[in-house]
Amino acid sequence: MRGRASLFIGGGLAGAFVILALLSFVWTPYPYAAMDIAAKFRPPGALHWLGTDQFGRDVAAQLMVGARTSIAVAIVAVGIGIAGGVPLGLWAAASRGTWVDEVIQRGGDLVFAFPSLVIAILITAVFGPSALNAILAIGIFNIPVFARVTRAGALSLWTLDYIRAARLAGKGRARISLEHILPNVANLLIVQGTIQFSLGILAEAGLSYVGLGAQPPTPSWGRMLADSQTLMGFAPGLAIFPGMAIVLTVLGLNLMGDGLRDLLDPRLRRRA
Amino acid sequence: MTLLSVRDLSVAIHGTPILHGVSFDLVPGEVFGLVGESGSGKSMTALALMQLLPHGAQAGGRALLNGDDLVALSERRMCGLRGREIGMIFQEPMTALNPVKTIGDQVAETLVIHGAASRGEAARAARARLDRVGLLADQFPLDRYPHELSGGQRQRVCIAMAVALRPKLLIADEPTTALDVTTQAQILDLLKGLVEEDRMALMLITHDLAVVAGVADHVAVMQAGRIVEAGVTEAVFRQRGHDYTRKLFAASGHVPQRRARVKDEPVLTVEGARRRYPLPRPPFSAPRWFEAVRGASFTLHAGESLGLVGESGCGKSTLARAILGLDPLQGGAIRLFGTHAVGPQMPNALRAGLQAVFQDPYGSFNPRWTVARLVAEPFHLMPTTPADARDRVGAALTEVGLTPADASRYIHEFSGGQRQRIAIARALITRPDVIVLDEAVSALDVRVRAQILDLLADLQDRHGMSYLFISHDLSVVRAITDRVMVMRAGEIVEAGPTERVLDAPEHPYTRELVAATPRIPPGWMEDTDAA
Repeated sequence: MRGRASLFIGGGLAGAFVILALLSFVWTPYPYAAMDIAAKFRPPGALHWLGTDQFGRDVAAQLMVGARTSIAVAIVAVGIGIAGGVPLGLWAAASRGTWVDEVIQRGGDLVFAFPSLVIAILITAVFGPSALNAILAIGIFNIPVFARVTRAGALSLWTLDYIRAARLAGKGRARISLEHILPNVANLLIVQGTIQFSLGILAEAGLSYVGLGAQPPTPSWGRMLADSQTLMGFAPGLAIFPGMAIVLTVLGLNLMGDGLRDLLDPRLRRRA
Repeated sequence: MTLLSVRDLSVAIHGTPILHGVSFDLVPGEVFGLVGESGSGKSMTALALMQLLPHGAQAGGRALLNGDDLVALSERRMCGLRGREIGMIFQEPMTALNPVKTIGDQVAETLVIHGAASRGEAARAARARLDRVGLLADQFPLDRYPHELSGGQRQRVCIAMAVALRPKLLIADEPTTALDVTTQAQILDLLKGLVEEDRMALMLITHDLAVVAGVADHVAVMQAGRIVEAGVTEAVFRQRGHDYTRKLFAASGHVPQRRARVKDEPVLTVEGARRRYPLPRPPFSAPRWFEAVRGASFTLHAGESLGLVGESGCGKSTLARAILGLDPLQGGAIRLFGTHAVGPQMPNALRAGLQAVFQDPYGSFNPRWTVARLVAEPFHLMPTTPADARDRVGAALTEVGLTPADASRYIHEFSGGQRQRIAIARALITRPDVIVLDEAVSALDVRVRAQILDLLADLQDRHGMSYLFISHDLSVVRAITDRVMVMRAGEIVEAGPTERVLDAPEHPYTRELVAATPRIPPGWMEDTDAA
């Protein structure tokens, strides 16, 4: 029941931000980039629900569009990780003990050896700050994560009798990996995906905090935090709201990941 | 003089009754056997006595041990009793020990926890207990780790832990099921010795009637949470008063009707097959190898059922994998029909002639596929149309006693016996010449096992394929095979007609194996066929 509760709470939190992000395509309380210097530093109120910033832009509208950026970056980064990591992991498990497995694993170790955020900063600094480069930088570090998770799950499956039966049916390693292994490691991947998703949001916030993510005027949670840093004294809301958005989204995704693992992992389910 | 008196013990899990009115008595110095099929409630009974029931379980009734009611005692009092008054031995010696603690520490732990000894004294006491269970100091110092011991030796450590404080009551749940027969015989002797010398009462839970016949003074037969028959072992075996007992006993000695139609055509020939594995080696040293199969040779004829027996690690499963063409050989040859070489590179048409049924009915199927897709998987080897495939899957399911409608269901909807039928259907679908049955009935209950053996005999009768029947269970091999080979340490040490090899073994190892196999005394089971 505990897993069920965290799934609902986490799914609800993460889902709320996805809905806000989608909603921002058709409606925001104000145009997110519309400045109104006369109305700067408004406290939260009926007119501006979450107040306005130093240029009089509506914070609620910026948060909604910022959610769009964060979620888009995280989705594509996880997608890159899955697209690159899962085939590598399947391949490594299928050729266990050979040089292929060794190369894939050591390659992953090599990537892990670099501090990911620092390298992401390096990449965006070299190729220019943009949302696209941030996506690539975060995505590349997801590849070995998914490769490891896939390989670990696949290795235990390769010892099962139904894999032997498939080999008896004359099926090759690639075919067995696709037909038997992949559907049975999908659970693991979904769980890992949610966790990497939340890490992606954090990484995107970090990159835009130092100015290497999405560029103005596209709003982003990380840059909203950075911009409000010097204004903490008299307009704390400007920092608190994007901060809360990041915390709640990441918390929601992590809770959802835990809940999904409890729900999808048959070993945990049996114990419950 | 009764030590433990159980009256009307009942257990319900989340409101579903599991045990109903279980009553029995345990007497010091005697062995009480509790037999039944899986799910009959044997282990639940033991767990209820230890108050180790799973979450959500509610126990009722009484179980008096020295005036204490084990069912009603508080958790704190139970902690004092477990280990001190009641010792328990589990089935799986591989997981019952903590791999990161030495065997000496684990045995001493029981003593220290109960405050019976200081650390130093506990170590000495642990030494004495390990000596008692046959693990002597020169070979098994206290600082050995579990992974350095074999399964039988680990089970001895578990027994040493269970008897460390000389409990009055010892509960053993399938203590020898995971062990080889020769090891099983030694462990049973050890348990019997402990009961006699230390006047313990032993509750022995097992599915194996032959084990009970050899060890237990009293026996109770359980079915669906009830004891259906109980009494002095010999009397229960001779009378078989309850209908269920009769069926159970008949199934355990069941011999399927077979019409031997062995033709003198070799189907599969194995000549000097060698198979070795690289062992892990330290860097910069010469590679080391483990020879799993050292020059095995035999011929399997058309329509023949050939047994391959041996203890775990003897190389029989390795040989089976090579015969199925899953692994390459490092020497010798395996041929189908005398000419075609079997190996990982063999053509699909040839592979269709070789199929297999594996031991584990739960690990043999992809849980995400329907039965239709599972059974049709070997069609990958031959061109078929979807309509033809569907018809043949239906026909194969009918042949193994299921219905074509089962094809659209998923594997988790089937019981262990039904799954093994589906595995046989999958093996049949390409009309193979040889089916390798690797411990195919070992995980099944006796009554289901009898049905599957009947099915296998019937299918061989109809289609005339050959079986290579790999098993550690001599009684099953006796029931289903024409010839048998005995394997030890990678070599076939004896081969011949099944009756001759098992009744008059020539090789010393075969003799040891046959002697160690528990048997129900012949006189006890007369008129089994009539029942």
